[in-house]
Amino acid sequence: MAASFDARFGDTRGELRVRYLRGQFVVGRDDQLIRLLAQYGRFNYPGMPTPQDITINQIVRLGLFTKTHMIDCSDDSPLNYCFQVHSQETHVLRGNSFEGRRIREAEWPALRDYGAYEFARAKCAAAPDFSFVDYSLDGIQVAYRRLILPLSRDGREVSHLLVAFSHDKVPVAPRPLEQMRA
Amino acid sequence: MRANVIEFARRSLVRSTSDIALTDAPQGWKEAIVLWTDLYQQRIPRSPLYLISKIALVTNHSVIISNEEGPKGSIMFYGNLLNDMQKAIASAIVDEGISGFPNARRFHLRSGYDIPALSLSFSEISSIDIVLFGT
Repeated sequence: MAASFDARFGDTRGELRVRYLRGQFVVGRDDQLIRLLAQYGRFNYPGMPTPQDITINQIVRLGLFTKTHMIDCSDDSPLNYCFQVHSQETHVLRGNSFEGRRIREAEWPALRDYGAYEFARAKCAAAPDFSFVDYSLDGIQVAYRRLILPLSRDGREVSHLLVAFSHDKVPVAPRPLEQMRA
Repeated sequence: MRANVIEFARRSLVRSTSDIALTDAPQGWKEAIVLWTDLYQQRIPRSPLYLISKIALVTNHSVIISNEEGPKGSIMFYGNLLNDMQKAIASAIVDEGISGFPNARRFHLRSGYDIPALSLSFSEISSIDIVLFGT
């Protein structure tokens, strides 16, 4: 299974792996993301929806409010991409919210590399991107499915990315119980 | 008093829209929606006092609406930074009825200002509904 990952980012603390699923949604497991993609497709703009088109009510009704980032990717350097909205479920800065911060501020170097590479790739593709992400950091393992939707202020160039994710039904077990008790 | 604030709202409001961009969500709203989501997903009944104390931590700009007294409930304004217009909008929201998912709206005033408001229903797990304003 590990051999099928398309991108890897790692260091001594852990590893981040990404498998590009290219639209291989699973009905049932990916329902929230499928609905989000369907709503995204309903915007009839010449180009792409604007960041202002994505509303609180839409995201809440999809059940994705706590699982959504909005990234301003208008800067030329991916390390300067900024989290305008950061998921309430993800804490990367010593437990604090990462809202208003840039990718370069991520504490974990592998996460910086991952963010810079993956979000620059999505910006360049200018099309919806669906992937499976699996990472382990300091013995904690997390797996989720991620949908990235490009948005544009002017309808032509990608200026923002909407990143929504749903956790896989993979049990998150930091370490064996015996080790926890020790 | 209630009739007065509703009349005030009717005269002052131009229209309301149902859309507020995700990027414009105040931090307090996010925490309130997370609280709402957690409570509804777990379906844990909570006392009105618990909710009021949690919401008070999130923002001063809140209105607690009690549903105990009748179908539309009595209204209790909570938060010392509320102004008359916010109270009027809260009354208008209560009169429409708060139900289902959190609803974020931007109220446009004749004066040209906008007031964003978020209504949250906790009535299934407690006895109160809540309106929050943007800061």
